[in-house]
Amino acid sequence: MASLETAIDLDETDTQTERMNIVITGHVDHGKSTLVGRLLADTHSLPQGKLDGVKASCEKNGRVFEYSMLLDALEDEQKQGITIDSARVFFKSLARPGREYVIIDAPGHIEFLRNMLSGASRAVAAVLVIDALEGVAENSRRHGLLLSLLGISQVLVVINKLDLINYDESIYRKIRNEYGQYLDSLKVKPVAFIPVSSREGKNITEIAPEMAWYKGKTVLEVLDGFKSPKSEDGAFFAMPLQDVYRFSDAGDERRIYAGTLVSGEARVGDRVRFLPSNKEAHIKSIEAWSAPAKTVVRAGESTGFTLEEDIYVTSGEVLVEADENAPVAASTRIRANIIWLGVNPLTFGKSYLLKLGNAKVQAKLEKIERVLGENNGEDGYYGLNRNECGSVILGFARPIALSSFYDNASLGRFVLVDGFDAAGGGIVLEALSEADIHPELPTGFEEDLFLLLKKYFPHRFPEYGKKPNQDYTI
Amino acid sequence: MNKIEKLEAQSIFIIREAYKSFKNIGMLWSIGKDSTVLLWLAKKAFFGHVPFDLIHIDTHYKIPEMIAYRDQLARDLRIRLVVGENRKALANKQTFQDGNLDRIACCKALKSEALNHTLDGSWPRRIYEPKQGAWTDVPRDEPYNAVIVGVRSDEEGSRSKERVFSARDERSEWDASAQPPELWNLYKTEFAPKTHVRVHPLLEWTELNIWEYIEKEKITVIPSYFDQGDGMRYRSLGCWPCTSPVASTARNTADIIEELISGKFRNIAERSGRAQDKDGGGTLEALRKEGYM
Repeated sequence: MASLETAIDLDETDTQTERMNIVITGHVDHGKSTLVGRLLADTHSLPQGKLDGVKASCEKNGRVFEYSMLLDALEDEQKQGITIDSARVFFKSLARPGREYVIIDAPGHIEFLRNMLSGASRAVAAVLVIDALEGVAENSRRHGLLLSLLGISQVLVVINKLDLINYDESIYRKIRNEYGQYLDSLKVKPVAFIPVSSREGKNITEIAPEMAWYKGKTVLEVLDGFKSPKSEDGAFFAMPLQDVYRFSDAGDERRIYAGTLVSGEARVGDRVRFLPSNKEAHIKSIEAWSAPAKTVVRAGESTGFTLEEDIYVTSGEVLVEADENAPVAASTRIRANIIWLGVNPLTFGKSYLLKLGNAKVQAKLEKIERVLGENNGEDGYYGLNRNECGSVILGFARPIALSSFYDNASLGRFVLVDGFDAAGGGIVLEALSEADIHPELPTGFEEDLFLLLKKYFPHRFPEYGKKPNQDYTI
Repeated sequence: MNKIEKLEAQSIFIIREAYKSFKNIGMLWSIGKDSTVLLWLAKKAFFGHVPFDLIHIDTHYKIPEMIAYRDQLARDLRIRLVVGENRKALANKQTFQDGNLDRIACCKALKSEALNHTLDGSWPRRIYEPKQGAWTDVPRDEPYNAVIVGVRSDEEGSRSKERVFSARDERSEWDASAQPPELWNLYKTEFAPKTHVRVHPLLEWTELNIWEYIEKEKITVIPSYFDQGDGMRYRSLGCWPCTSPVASTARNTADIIEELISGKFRNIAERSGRAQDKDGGGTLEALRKEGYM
């Protein structure tokens, strides 16, 4: 299994103007808004006169100026439709001309988790803010976990409010160690930890003399080092089949197999295989309208092929190169990490619609291996409540083609729909074979039976009898 | 792939997803630059075909060039064009220009109401059939389950809260606070019966991206966007009583891009020429709740 780093390998410098979506997360009052306000001010990204205007207004009203006010002021302005990009807060890089950072607000409140995740799933990097005075808090952990579930690999941890602890290195080290260990348990490798004071502007865009013990980079320097996601050109070819078109009007006879390449490249003449049907055909042409004819398409492109052989396949199958040993397999069972956002809990015995690539399949919860996060209560094993995360096994009504998230991000993530409610999302840790679990026995029954046997026939289970709390595996 | 190519690929994916997911789907077409890019993307998505209707809401206060351009394009591209309008309000002179409504109420009557009743098929539609090359009047028709709309999140605050697949309930209302999560590009396309869905393929585009794409693809847009010699041009097209041209000598797409990147419009919002946005805070969000696009 490839490591997270290599799976989401990153492009070198994009020479054009680029917009990088960054999500800023952290516990309530740990200083997210102040950090953003600071970045706006210190990168000179505010509209002319805005900073002085807010300061003057504070003085007039006898209020103490705070950098977090800049965000509110900007929002007011957005409501009036004055700034050009009114919807999203963004600031410019100082060192990299042409780069802009779009800040996706991630409210600390749990009620907004659906919105936070929707935004964060479009982010390529994350900044986690922790209050040095308060230390690691509930949402510090929760957000770290969510970032790992979304597969965001570029994470910067900012330890804020160092001014309130007299820039004490030992407190910073303690938090860094504690949180570093936690992220390590999630397989998240932070790009950097930075001690800062957002209020005083220390280590944000300039290294602060107060923290001479800190030898790393500023926040902005680390942001500038973040990379746009690689377009997976070099990887194996994979394209979920989105649809098959045959528009017969105006005498068009083409049957076009349409989709968006998630990785690799394909050429005219290539022999491709559709999974899970295993049908094979040769690419006859790459179709496009109002574009020069081409013989090769690459990752990220929305395209369409005609095939030499007329075959019947339906949307949701995945095209791979027939000769390439791509790590894409037809599976009916996966081990996955999921975040549940549904109105109703995720429960056993119920059928959900799982969407992965362009495939849709009925899926059932077969086992909860672990409830992730702070709520590790026993009741979690009977389902997942709203906003809970877990490591689970899901079984499908029929095979679909997929990868582990670490082999291919696009073919290794999915959402679950409960009725008409988009209720959860997650990443595929691995595809499981039929032998990994007895499919004919419902897991809940199996566990209940085991507990009964253990209770009434303890002599048959000496290794468990003495230690009732020990985990067991079947 | 560069930024514009990525946006194009993403939008094509969304348009294909929408077409696959809904039986009766149309594309809202306002004749402006965003709509024109949307139509172009549809032709890209379906390899030169437009496999659904284009829907235009005619307020009868559009700048006259817009209507001429619309009819020309429908003929040239052989598009089935569906036109809806609020005939009652127009006949009774219930409009801003007639002095009987304020701007917001006028928008609501001539756009939102006309749109909602055209989409649900309860008001007459005027339809251009490309095969016959003729217009017909259809008093009642099938409702559309979904429409593809070219809104962008950088236009105005409320649009930034939008999802790509966004549900309206039976009364066409939009509840911005109770939206489902939308993770990656795994859009939820499952909706309860009678839900009306708006699909937004251009949500991630900015005004600048639109013009960069028009330049790259050499798309013909309505000439009203360019200075015709009097030093004025439209930056955003709407009804003439509520939309003013801006002072600009931009004569082509390249000039407009220059104006947006480093020139005079770098820090001025696109819709600044739209008077209805300014009548009280948050009015566009209020209008959108009732179905405004």
